[in-house]
Amino acid sequence: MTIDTSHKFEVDALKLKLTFGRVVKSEILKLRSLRSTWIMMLAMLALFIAFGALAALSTTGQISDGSGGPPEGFALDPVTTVLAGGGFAVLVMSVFGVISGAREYNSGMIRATLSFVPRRLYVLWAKVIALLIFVIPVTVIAAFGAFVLGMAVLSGAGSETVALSDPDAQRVLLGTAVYIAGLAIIGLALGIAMRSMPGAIATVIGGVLILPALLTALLPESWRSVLKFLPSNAAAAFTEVEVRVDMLALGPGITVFAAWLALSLAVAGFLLVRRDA
Amino acid sequence: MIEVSNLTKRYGKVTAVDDVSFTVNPGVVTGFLGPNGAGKSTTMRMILGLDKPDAGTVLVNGLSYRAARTPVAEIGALLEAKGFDRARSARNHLRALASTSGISTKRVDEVLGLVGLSEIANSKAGGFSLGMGQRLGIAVALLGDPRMVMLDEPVNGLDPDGVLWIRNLLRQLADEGRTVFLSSHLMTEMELIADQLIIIGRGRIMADTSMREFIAASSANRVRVVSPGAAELKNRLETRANESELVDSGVLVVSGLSSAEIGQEAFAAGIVLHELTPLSASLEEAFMELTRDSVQFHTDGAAA
Repeated sequence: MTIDTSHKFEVDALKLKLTFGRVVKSEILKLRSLRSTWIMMLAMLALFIAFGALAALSTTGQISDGSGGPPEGFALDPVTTVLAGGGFAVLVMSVFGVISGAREYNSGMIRATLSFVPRRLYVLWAKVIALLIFVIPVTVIAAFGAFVLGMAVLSGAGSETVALSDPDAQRVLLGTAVYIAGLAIIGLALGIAMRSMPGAIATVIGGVLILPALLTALLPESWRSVLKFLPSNAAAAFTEVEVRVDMLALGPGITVFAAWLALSLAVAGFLLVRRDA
Repeated sequence: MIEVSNLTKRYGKVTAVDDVSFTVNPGVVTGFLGPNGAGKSTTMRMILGLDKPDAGTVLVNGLSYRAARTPVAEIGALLEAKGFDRARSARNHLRALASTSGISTKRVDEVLGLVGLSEIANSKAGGFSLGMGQRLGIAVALLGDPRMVMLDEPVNGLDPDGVLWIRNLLRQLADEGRTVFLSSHLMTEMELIADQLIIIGRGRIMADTSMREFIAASSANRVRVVSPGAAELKNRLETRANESELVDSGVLVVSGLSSAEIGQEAFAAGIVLHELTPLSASLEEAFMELTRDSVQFHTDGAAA
C-alpha cells in the first residue's frame, strides 16, 4: 500500500485537529453570522419586557378599556403580572431552538458540517452549547428587566409589589429562565430529529406548548394525574408563583422537565448518529 | 488514497451501489464516470461517512473517515453546489466550517482569493449564481489543504473560464502528490482531465482503467469507405466484415476489417475507391456503449 508521505500535509495536519471546543466555536459563529439570530434575541427582549410593563400598567388601571378598574380575570399577583411576556419569550426561543437545529437541513449545509465534523455527537452538543450561550443571557436580562420595570410601574401606581429578595419571586424568575432555555433545547432537538423547520416548529408550538394546556383544560379531572407529567405542566412547578395542588411539586417538576430534555436530546443524538446525512 | 471494498448501498428495493470495489491513488487525477443515477454521489457520500453502507468498507488513508482525527487534512469534498445557508456570507460560511478544525481566517481569505470570490466574500451567498456557488463549494474543499480532493460534478455551472481554471487546479493538486477524485457524467470532460478512469453504471463498476488504455481499447476497428460502388462492395464484404453499413449512397462504414483488407477486396473486384478512412470511435460513444445496457436495465427495473 502506498501512502502519500509528503511532509507538507503531515505538518499542517497536526495543527488541524478536530476538537469539541473548536466545533462549539464554529456553531457560535454560525449563529452569530445570521441576522435572524439578533432579530429574534431583540424581539424576545422587547416582547418580554414590554408585555410585563403593559400588564402592570393595565392592572393598576393606568391603561384600561375605559371601565376604570383592572380587566376582569387578570392575575393580580405582582410577579405573574410583570412576567406576562414570558409566553412570548417561550415562543420566540423555542422557534429559535428549532431553527438552530433544522436550518442546516433546509439549506443542505449539514452535509458540509458533518464532513468537517464526522464525530456527529460533537455537532449536537456544540449546537446545544452555542444555543444556550445566546439564550441564557438574553433570557436572564429579559426576565429581570421585565421584573424591575414591571415592579417600578406597580409601585409608581401604589399597587402591591414583590421584592427581588422574595423566595417565590426568585424561584419563578430563575424557573422561567430555565424553562425558556429548556424549550429552546427541546426545539433544537426536534429540529435535528425532524430535519424540517415547519414540522419541528409545528411540533414544538402545537405539541409541546399548546396541546398540554388544551388537554388539561378539556379532559376530565381524572386525566390530570397523567397530564401533569407533560413538559409545560411539569415546568409549572418552577414557572408559576402558586403551585397548584394538581400539578407536580418543585422537586418532581424539575426532575420530570429534565427528563423531557434528556429524552429529546437522546432521540436527536440517536437519529443524528444513525441516519444518513 | 481511497480504498473502497465491496461497497453496497440499497434504498428500499433499489440497489444504488452494488458490490463496488476500487482504489483511488495519489498523484493522479481519477475520474469517476457514469450516467446520472449510476451511484457516483452515493459512493462519494459513503467515502465521507455521510451515508452508511449496507455492506463493504471504505478506507481513507487507511482509516475510516469517521474516526479521522484531522478530517479536514484528509479529504476536502464538494458534494453539492448549493450546500450553504443563503443568509450567510461566503466568508462566514467558510469561517464557520474552518473553525471546526482550527483553520485560520487567513486561510479562509486565501482560499476565497484562489477561487475568485474575494470581491463578493461578504455578500450573502443567497444571491450567488450556480457557478459562484460551485466556486464556494470548491473553496470549502480546499480549506484544509487536504491530501485528497473529492469533487462531485465540479464543472457544473462553471463558465468556460471556470472550467479551464478547475482543470488546471486539479492537475496542479495531483502534481503535488495529492489524490484527486472527481465525478462527471460527461466523457468529454473526463477526457481532458483524468489520468485514471472508473466507470460506473447501475451501481456497478463497468471499467477501471487508465485513460490511455481506455482510449486504445475503445477505438473500434472501423473504416469509412467512399465509393461509387459502395453497394456492391458491401455485398462482397458481407461474409468477412462483422458489420457494414451503407450510411449514404456511396458511403459505407465497415467494422471488423482493416483498411488494407478492404482496399485489397475493392481492388480484386475492380471497385473504384474515393476515400478509405480508419475511424476511431469517440470516447463518448465508447462510454455510452459501455453503460447502455446498465442505463436501459435501470429504466426497465424502475418501471417494473
